[in-house]
Amino acid sequence: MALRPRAAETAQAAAAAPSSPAAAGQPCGGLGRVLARTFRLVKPEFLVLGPLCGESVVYLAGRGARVHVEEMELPDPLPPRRPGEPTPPALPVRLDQPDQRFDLVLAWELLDFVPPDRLFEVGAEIVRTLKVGGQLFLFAHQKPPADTAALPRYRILADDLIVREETGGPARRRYVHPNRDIERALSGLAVQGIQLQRNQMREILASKAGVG
Amino acid sequence: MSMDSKIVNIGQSIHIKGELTGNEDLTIEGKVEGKVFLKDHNLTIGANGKITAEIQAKTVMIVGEVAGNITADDKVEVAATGTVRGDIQAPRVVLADGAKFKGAIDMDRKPGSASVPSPKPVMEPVGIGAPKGPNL
Repeated sequence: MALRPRAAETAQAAAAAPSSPAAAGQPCGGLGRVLARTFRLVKPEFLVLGPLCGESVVYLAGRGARVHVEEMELPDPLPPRRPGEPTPPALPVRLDQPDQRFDLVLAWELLDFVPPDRLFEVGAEIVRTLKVGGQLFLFAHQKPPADTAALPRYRILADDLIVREETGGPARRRYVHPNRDIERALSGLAVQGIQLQRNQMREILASKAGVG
Repeated sequence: MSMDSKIVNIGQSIHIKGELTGNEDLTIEGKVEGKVFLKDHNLTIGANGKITAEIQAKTVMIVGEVAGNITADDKVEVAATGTVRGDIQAPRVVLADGAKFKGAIDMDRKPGSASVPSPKPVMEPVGIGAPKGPNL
Protein backbone atom coordinates (compact mmCIF):
# COMPACT_ATOMS: atom_id res chain seq x y z
CA MET A 1 0.00 0.00 0.00
CA ALA A 2 1.37 3.36 -0.91
CA LEU A 3 2.41 5.52 2.02
CA ARG A 4 0.79 8.80 1.24
CA PRO A 5 0.91 11.71 3.68
CA ARG A 6 -2.60 12.78 4.51
CA ALA A 7 -3.45 16.43 4.59
CA ALA A 8 -4.70 16.20 8.15
CA GLU A 9 -1.65 14.26 9.30
CA THR A 10 0.66 16.81 7.74
CA ALA A 11 -1.14 19.71 9.36
CA GLN A 12 -1.37 18.00 12.74
CA ALA A 13 2.28 17.08 12.69
CA ALA A 14 3.19 20.65 11.84
CA ALA A 15 1.04 22.00 14.63
CA ALA A 16 2.44 19.53 17.12
CA ALA A 17 6.07 20.42 16.53
CA PRO A 18 7.18 23.13 18.98
CA SER A 19 9.36 24.91 16.45
CA SER A 20 6.85 24.43 13.68
CA PRO A 21 6.19 27.30 11.31
CA ALA A 22 2.51 26.52 11.80
CA ALA A 23 2.54 29.04 14.60
CA ALA A 24 2.88 31.67 11.88
CA GLY A 25 0.48 29.89 9.57
CA GLN A 26 -1.90 32.03 7.64
CA PRO A 27 -5.34 30.85 6.60
CA CYS A 28 -5.79 30.99 2.85
CA GLY A 29 -9.36 30.27 1.95
CA GLY A 30 -8.77 30.98 -1.73
CA LEU A 31 -6.17 28.26 -1.99
CA GLY A 32 -8.45 25.90 -0.09
CA ARG A 33 -11.25 26.51 -2.55
CA VAL A 34 -9.11 26.13 -5.65
CA LEU A 35 -7.53 22.92 -4.34
CA ALA A 36 -10.93 21.51 -3.43
CA ARG A 37 -12.10 22.12 -6.99
CA THR A 38 -8.96 20.77 -8.59
CA PHE A 39 -8.74 17.62 -6.48
CA ARG A 40 -12.11 16.56 -7.83
CA LEU A 41 -10.24 15.73 -11.02
CA VAL A 42 -8.50 12.43 -11.47
CA LYS A 43 -4.77 12.93 -11.29
CA PRO A 44 -4.70 16.69 -11.81
CA GLU A 45 -1.52 18.26 -13.16
CA PHE A 46 -0.08 21.14 -11.14
CA LEU A 47 2.69 23.58 -11.95
CA VAL A 48 4.37 25.25 -8.99
CA LEU A 49 6.45 28.30 -9.86
CA GLY A 50 8.99 30.03 -7.70
CA PRO A 51 11.54 28.87 -5.13
CA LEU A 52 11.18 25.19 -4.33
CA CYS A 53 9.41 24.29 -1.13
CA GLY A 54 9.77 20.55 -1.00
CA GLU A 55 7.17 20.16 1.71
CA SER A 56 4.53 21.90 -0.40
CA VAL A 57 5.31 19.86 -3.49
CA VAL A 58 5.19 16.60 -1.56
CA TYR A 59 1.98 17.70 0.15
CA LEU A 60 0.25 18.30 -3.19
CA ALA A 61 1.65 15.12 -4.74
CA GLY A 62 0.55 13.19 -1.68
CA ARG A 63 -2.97 14.46 -2.20
CA GLY A 64 -2.99 12.88 -5.64
CA ALA A 65 -1.67 15.51 -8.04
CA ARG A 66 1.18 15.15 -10.45
CA VAL A 67 3.24 18.18 -9.47
CA HIS A 68 5.66 19.90 -11.80
CA VAL A 69 8.18 22.35 -10.46
CA GLU A 70 9.88 25.14 -12.36
CA GLU A 71 11.81 28.14 -11.16
CA MET A 72 10.99 30.54 -13.94
CA GLU A 73 13.80 32.84 -14.95
CA LEU A 74 12.50 36.31 -14.22
CA PRO A 75 12.89 38.74 -17.11
CA ASP A 76 14.72 42.02 -16.86
CA PRO A 77 13.04 45.24 -18.02
CA LEU A 78 13.28 45.88 -21.72
CA PRO A 79 16.32 47.99 -22.57
CA PRO A 80 15.46 51.59 -23.43
CA ARG A 81 14.77 52.25 -27.07
CA ARG A 82 16.60 55.13 -28.70
CA PRO A 83 14.85 57.24 -31.29
CA GLY A 84 15.47 56.03 -34.82
CA GLU A 85 16.91 52.71 -33.71
CA PRO A 86 15.19 49.32 -33.68
CA THR A 87 13.95 47.86 -30.43
CA PRO A 88 16.89 46.22 -28.66
CA PRO A 89 16.59 42.47 -28.35
CA ALA A 90 15.60 40.96 -25.04
CA LEU A 91 15.69 37.37 -23.86
CA PRO A 92 12.25 35.86 -24.43
CA VAL A 93 10.18 34.73 -21.47
CA ARG A 94 9.73 30.99 -21.60
CA LEU A 95 8.30 28.29 -19.39
CA ASP A 96 9.80 24.94 -20.32
CA GLN A 97 6.39 23.26 -20.39
CA PRO A 98 4.04 22.13 -23.16
CA ASP A 99 0.82 23.89 -24.12
CA GLN A 100 -2.37 23.27 -22.15
CA ARG A 101 -0.92 20.80 -19.71
CA PHE A 102 -1.93 22.06 -16.27
CA ASP A 103 -5.13 22.06 -14.25
CA LEU A 104 -3.62 24.47 -11.74
CA VAL A 105 -0.70 26.87 -11.75
CA LEU A 106 0.47 28.22 -8.40
CA ALA A 107 2.42 31.36 -9.20
CA TRP A 108 2.53 32.73 -5.64
CA GLU A 109 4.15 36.20 -5.83
CA LEU A 110 5.90 35.72 -9.16
CA LEU A 111 4.23 38.61 -10.98
CA ASP A 112 5.39 41.10 -8.35
CA PHE A 113 8.93 40.56 -9.58
CA VAL A 114 8.15 41.00 -13.27
CA PRO A 115 8.75 44.46 -14.77
CA PRO A 116 5.58 46.08 -16.13
CA ASP A 117 6.86 45.95 -19.71
CA ARG A 118 7.33 42.15 -19.47
CA LEU A 119 4.14 41.37 -17.58
CA PHE A 120 2.21 40.49 -20.72
CA GLU A 121 4.86 37.97 -21.83
CA VAL A 122 4.88 36.19 -18.48
CA GLY A 123 1.09 36.19 -18.35
CA ALA A 124 0.89 34.75 -21.86
CA GLU A 125 3.30 31.95 -20.94
CA ILE A 126 1.24 30.98 -17.91
CA VAL A 127 -1.98 31.09 -19.93
CA ARG A 128 -0.37 28.94 -22.64
CA THR A 129 0.40 26.14 -20.19
CA LEU A 130 -3.09 26.00 -18.65
CA LYS A 131 -5.72 23.60 -19.89
CA VAL A 132 -9.13 24.96 -20.75
CA GLY A 133 -10.84 25.16 -17.39
CA GLY A 134 -7.45 25.24 -15.65
CA GLN A 135 -6.92 27.67 -12.81
CA LEU A 136 -4.26 30.15 -11.79
CA PHE A 137 -3.69 31.16 -8.19
CA LEU A 138 -1.36 33.98 -7.27
CA PHE A 139 -0.66 36.77 -4.85
CA ALA A 140 0.16 40.38 -5.68
CA HIS A 141 1.22 42.89 -3.09
CA GLN A 142 -0.69 46.14 -2.87
CA LYS A 143 1.83 47.95 -0.68
CA PRO A 144 5.07 46.00 -0.37
CA PRO A 145 7.21 46.94 2.63
CA ALA A 146 10.32 47.41 0.45
CA ASP A 147 11.15 48.08 -3.19
CA THR A 148 13.39 45.05 -3.37
CA ALA A 149 13.02 41.55 -1.98
CA ALA A 150 13.88 37.96 -2.69
CA LEU A 151 11.15 35.81 -4.16
CA PRO A 152 9.55 34.16 -1.12
CA ARG A 153 8.77 30.51 -0.62
CA TYR A 154 5.30 29.27 0.31
CA ARG A 155 4.89 26.29 2.58
CA ILE A 156 1.51 24.57 2.39
CA LEU A 157 0.57 23.12 5.76
CA ALA A 158 -2.99 22.23 4.81
CA ASP A 159 -5.26 22.99 1.89
CA ASP A 160 -6.17 26.34 3.39
CA LEU A 161 -3.17 27.04 5.60
CA ILE A 162 0.13 28.42 4.33
CA VAL A 163 3.32 29.97 5.60
CA ARG A 164 5.21 32.64 3.69
CA GLU A 165 8.95 32.31 4.16
CA GLU A 166 11.77 34.59 3.16
CA THR A 167 14.52 32.90 1.17
CA GLY A 168 18.16 33.75 0.95
CA GLY A 169 17.83 34.35 -2.77
CA PRO A 170 19.02 37.46 -4.57
CA ALA A 171 17.02 40.61 -3.94
CA ARG A 172 15.13 41.85 -6.97
CA ARG A 173 13.09 44.92 -7.74
CA ARG A 174 9.49 44.50 -6.70
CA TYR A 175 6.67 46.08 -8.67
CA VAL A 176 3.08 46.90 -7.80
CA HIS A 177 0.88 46.06 -10.77
CA PRO A 178 -2.63 47.51 -10.82
CA ASN A 179 -5.44 44.98 -11.06
CA ARG A 180 -6.27 46.04 -14.60
CA ASP A 181 -2.68 45.41 -15.76
CA ILE A 182 -2.71 41.95 -14.25
CA GLU A 183 -6.05 41.18 -15.85
CA ARG A 184 -4.76 42.38 -19.23
CA ALA A 185 -1.59 40.31 -18.85
CA LEU A 186 -3.72 37.26 -18.19
CA SER A 187 -5.66 37.67 -21.39
CA GLY A 188 -7.48 34.40 -22.04
CA LEU A 189 -8.22 33.88 -18.38
CA ALA A 190 -11.36 34.98 -16.60
CA VAL A 191 -10.49 36.51 -13.26
CA GLN A 192 -12.76 34.85 -10.74
CA GLY A 193 -11.88 37.06 -7.84
CA ILE A 194 -9.40 39.48 -6.38
CA GLN A 195 -9.45 39.75 -2.63
CA LEU A 196 -7.42 42.19 -0.62
CA GLN A 197 -6.22 40.80 2.65
CA ARG A 198 -5.37 42.73 5.76
CA ASN A 199 -1.66 42.31 5.06
CA GLN A 200 -2.20 44.23 1.79
CA MET A 201 -1.71 41.13 -0.29
CA ARG A 202 -4.15 40.59 -3.14
CA GLU A 203 -5.22 37.00 -3.62
CA ILE A 204 -6.07 36.45 -7.27
CA LEU A 205 -7.84 33.47 -8.79
CA ALA A 206 -8.42 33.11 -12.52
CA SER A 207 -9.49 30.31 -14.80
CA LYS A 208 -9.02 29.62 -18.47
CA ALA A 209 -12.21 29.99 -20.39
CA GLY A 210 -13.18 27.58 -23.11
CA VAL A 211 -13.13 28.53 -26.76
CA GLY A 212 -16.46 29.43 -28.22
CA MET B 1 28.78 -8.62 7.81
CA SER B 2 25.91 -10.11 5.86
CA MET B 3 25.64 -9.77 2.11
CA ASP B 4 22.57 -7.58 2.51
CA SER B 5 24.41 -4.94 4.48
CA LYS B 6 27.27 -4.52 2.03
CA ILE B 7 27.52 -1.18 0.36
CA VAL B 8 29.48 -0.90 -2.84
CA ASN B 9 31.06 2.37 -3.80
CA ILE B 10 31.78 3.77 -7.20
CA GLY B 11 34.59 6.17 -6.57
CA GLN B 12 34.96 9.74 -7.65
CA SER B 13 37.35 8.97 -10.49
CA ILE B 14 35.15 6.28 -12.04
CA HIS B 15 33.14 7.05 -15.17
CA ILE B 16 30.66 4.42 -16.36
CA LYS B 17 28.67 4.42 -19.59
CA GLY B 18 25.99 1.79 -20.05
CA GLU B 19 23.60 -0.20 -17.89
CA LEU B 20 24.39 -0.69 -14.24
CA THR B 21 22.50 -3.47 -12.41
CA GLY B 22 23.04 -5.21 -9.12
CA ASN B 23 21.70 -6.83 -5.98
CA GLU B 24 23.53 -4.75 -3.42
CA ASP B 25 23.24 -1.27 -2.04
CA LEU B 26 25.33 1.17 -4.00
CA THR B 27 26.87 4.57 -3.45
CA ILE B 28 27.99 6.49 -6.51
CA GLU B 29 30.53 9.25 -6.17
CA GLY B 30 31.65 9.13 -9.78
CA LYS B 31 29.89 9.64 -13.11
CA VAL B 32 27.36 7.30 -14.64
CA GLU B 33 25.61 7.66 -17.99
CA GLY B 34 22.96 5.22 -19.14
CA LYS B 35 20.71 3.24 -16.80
CA VAL B 36 20.93 2.21 -13.14
CA PHE B 37 18.74 -0.66 -11.90
CA LEU B 38 19.02 -1.79 -8.28
CA LYS B 39 15.87 -3.74 -7.62
CA ASP B 40 15.18 -4.09 -3.88
CA HIS B 41 18.29 -2.15 -2.99
CA ASN B 42 19.29 1.33 -1.97
CA LEU B 43 21.11 3.79 -4.18
CA THR B 44 22.92 6.84 -2.91
CA ILE B 45 24.22 9.52 -5.23
CA GLY B 46 27.01 11.05 -3.20
CA ALA B 47 28.00 14.69 -3.13
CA ASN B 48 30.43 14.18 -5.99
CA GLY B 49 28.17 11.89 -7.98
CA LYS B 50 26.92 13.00 -11.38
CA ILE B 51 24.36 10.73 -12.97
CA THR B 52 22.83 11.09 -16.40
CA ALA B 53 20.62 8.06 -16.37
CA GLU B 54 17.27 6.49 -15.80
CA ILE B 55 17.26 5.17 -12.23
CA GLN B 56 15.21 2.40 -10.65
CA ALA B 57 15.81 1.22 -7.08
CA LYS B 58 14.12 0.57 -3.77
CA THR B 59 15.25 3.84 -2.30
CA VAL B 60 17.23 6.63 -3.89
CA MET B 61 19.09 9.28 -1.91
CA ILE B 62 20.49 12.20 -3.90
CA VAL B 63 23.16 14.41 -2.48
CA GLY B 64 24.86 15.08 -5.82
CA GLU B 65 23.39 15.57 -9.31
CA VAL B 66 20.97 13.53 -11.37
CA ALA B 67 19.64 14.19 -14.85
CA GLY B 68 17.05 11.57 -15.69
CA ASN B 69 13.86 10.01 -14.43
CA ILE B 70 13.89 8.28 -11.05
CA THR B 71 11.57 5.48 -9.99
CA ALA B 72 11.71 4.02 -6.50
CA ASP B 73 9.60 1.30 -4.90
CA ASP B 74 9.89 2.93 -1.51
CA LYS B 75 11.38 6.41 -1.28
CA VAL B 76 13.29 9.15 -3.06
CA GLU B 77 15.05 11.75 -0.98
CA VAL B 78 16.78 14.82 -2.39
CA ALA B 79 19.11 16.51 0.08
CA ALA B 80 19.54 20.27 0.26
CA THR B 81 22.69 19.99 -1.83
CA GLY B 82 21.06 17.69 -4.38
CA THR B 83 20.11 18.57 -7.93
CA VAL B 84 17.55 16.66 -9.98
CA ARG B 85 16.42 17.34 -13.54
CA GLY B 86 13.84 14.73 -14.31
CA ASP B 87 10.65 13.16 -13.04
CA ILE B 88 10.39 11.37 -9.72
CA GLN B 89 7.98 8.53 -9.10
CA ALA B 90 7.86 6.98 -5.65
CA PRO B 91 5.29 6.42 -2.90
CA ARG B 92 7.38 8.54 -0.54
CA VAL B 93 9.34 11.63 -1.54
CA VAL B 94 11.39 14.03 0.53
CA LEU B 95 12.63 17.25 -1.06
CA ALA B 96 14.79 19.37 1.20
CA ASP B 97 14.49 23.12 0.94
CA GLY B 98 17.47 24.36 -0.98
CA ALA B 99 17.53 21.36 -3.30
CA LYS B 100 17.42 22.09 -7.03
CA PHE B 101 14.62 20.30 -8.78
CA LYS B 102 13.05 20.64 -12.19
CA GLY B 103 10.58 18.02 -13.19
CA ALA B 104 7.45 16.35 -11.92
CA ILE B 105 6.62 14.33 -8.83
CA ASP B 106 4.17 11.47 -8.88
CA MET B 107 3.51 9.60 -5.66
CA ASP B 108 1.15 7.03 -7.10
CA ARG B 109 2.66 3.59 -7.09
CA LYS B 110 1.50 2.75 -10.58
CA PRO B 111 1.83 5.25 -13.39
CA GLY B 112 -1.51 6.57 -14.53
CA SER B 113 -3.46 4.97 -11.71
CA ALA B 114 -6.37 6.96 -10.37
CA SER B 115 -5.78 8.73 -7.12
CA VAL B 116 -8.11 8.85 -4.19
CA PRO B 117 -8.07 12.31 -2.66
CA SER B 118 -7.52 12.25 1.03
CA PRO B 119 -10.15 13.82 3.23
CA LYS B 120 -10.09 17.51 3.93
CA PRO B 121 -7.79 18.31 6.83
CA VAL B 122 -9.45 18.40 10.18
CA MET B 123 -7.09 21.02 11.52
CA GLU B 124 -8.53 24.46 11.88
CA PRO B 125 -6.42 27.43 10.77
CA VAL B 126 -4.55 28.81 13.72
CA GLY B 127 -3.31 32.12 14.92
CA ILE B 128 -2.69 35.31 13.21
CA GLY B 129 -3.92 34.94 9.70
CA ALA B 130 -5.46 37.91 8.09
CA PRO B 131 -9.18 37.81 7.56
CA LYS B 132 -10.39 38.57 4.09
CA GLY B 133 -10.97 42.14 3.18
CA PRO B 134 -13.41 43.56 0.70
CA ASN B 135 -13.26 42.76 -2.96
CA LEU B 136 -11.29 45.26 -4.95
